[in-house]
Amino acid sequence: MSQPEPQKIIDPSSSSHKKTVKKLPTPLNTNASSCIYTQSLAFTKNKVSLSAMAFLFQEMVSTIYKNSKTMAEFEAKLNKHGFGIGVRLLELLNFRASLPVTTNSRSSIFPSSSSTSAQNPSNSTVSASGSGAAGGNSGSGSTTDRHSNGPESLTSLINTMKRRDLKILDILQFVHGTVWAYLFDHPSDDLVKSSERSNEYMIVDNMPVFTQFIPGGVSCDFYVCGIVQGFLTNAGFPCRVTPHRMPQDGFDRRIVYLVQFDKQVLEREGLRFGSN
Amino acid sequence: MNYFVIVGPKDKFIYETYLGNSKDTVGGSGFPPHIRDLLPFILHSSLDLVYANKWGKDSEGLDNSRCYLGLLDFFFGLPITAYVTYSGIMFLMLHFNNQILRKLDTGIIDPTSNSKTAKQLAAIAPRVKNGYVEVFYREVHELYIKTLMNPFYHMGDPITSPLFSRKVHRLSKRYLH
Repeated sequence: MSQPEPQKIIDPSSSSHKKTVKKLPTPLNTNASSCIYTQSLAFTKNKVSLSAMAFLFQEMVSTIYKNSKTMAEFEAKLNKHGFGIGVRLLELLNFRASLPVTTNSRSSIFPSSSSTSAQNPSNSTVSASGSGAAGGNSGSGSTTDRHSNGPESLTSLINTMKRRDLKILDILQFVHGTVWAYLFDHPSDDLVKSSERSNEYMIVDNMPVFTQFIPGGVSCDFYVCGIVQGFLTNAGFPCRVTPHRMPQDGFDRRIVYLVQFDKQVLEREGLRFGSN
Repeated sequence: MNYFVIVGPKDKFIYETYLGNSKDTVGGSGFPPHIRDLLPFILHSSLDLVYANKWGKDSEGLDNSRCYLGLLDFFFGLPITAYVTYSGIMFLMLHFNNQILRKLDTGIIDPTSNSKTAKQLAAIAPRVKNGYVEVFYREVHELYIKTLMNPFYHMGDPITSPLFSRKVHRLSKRYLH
């Protein structure tokens, strides 16, 4: 970092900028990739402050807004941003759910229970020692042998992998419970099946976290829709998700996320679980 | 010596490698060339079975919703195992052993010629140790999730990280040999 600075002072033209760009790849490659593979996937209680989150979200929304011509385009773009997160959560949260209850990862799911708060101190020490060991490893350069026992690899802790969710209800329960708890610290407020159309389900959130400071319509909630859609689509349940504001019981920002599954999902469900 | 691939969305191979305990895994030079070129086709042909199995039912009529699909298919007696991640990424492996490779190399057995070879191959085919293979797949699954956590990696991109490759080879040494 110290090297490029004097260059900038002498000559802040594009050529010096190019130099720094050229220099970057080698150190970045080794550091970044080793970080990715030595970091543990275990849950650590690192919370992001709401104000920082709201600020980033606002920046993203305004950037996308500027670059979109129509409202539909804006919503589609926001949706796409969420989609990528849904994909990642699908793998990560299911993998964490495979870990036995005693390990720290499980406490992420329902943080409201009292036992988890008692566990937390031990959790933090475990993760701290883990990161310390990983740091030491990368420093010394020989990372090879400690992998399997360290927290870097969680597989050794797993007895049986969580099964893949093949039923609509199972996967929606997972979204309603685990995914919501991971994102917003509480399970969603309700999960309802539409009585009119068989392919429609509703996930209800009384107090949407991301958009609570944004007045007006529900366009910005397409981000969360994208997360849900990315999650379900990649799990083998292609669908469309749209937000609808339905104030009720004093929650005037209450949002209903309407999940509309594709026809094929219902057909498959009918074939596999015909009696239900 | 095994041939291992990761199959992404739209049945594209996003990673392939030759797993073995010697130097001849580099570029698959341990395989006779006429076999090596066949390997992707062999695994591609068993994708149908993966699809049938990942939404299918097991022998007891229950959902086959486990990630590890186990021994799935045979190619002339050579076992093929498979694993499906939560987002439908498939791991496939074609199992060889040294005895088979030697016979293939010297041309004693030619899997492209006739059906008699199936019996010959099956007689000396490696036994799949399900426990070890499953743990290997789980470890690779974890590595894959770590790859996916990289915000610059998009689902379905080829995995090109040499570090990923090194880790997979290390795992294979621990669990498959």
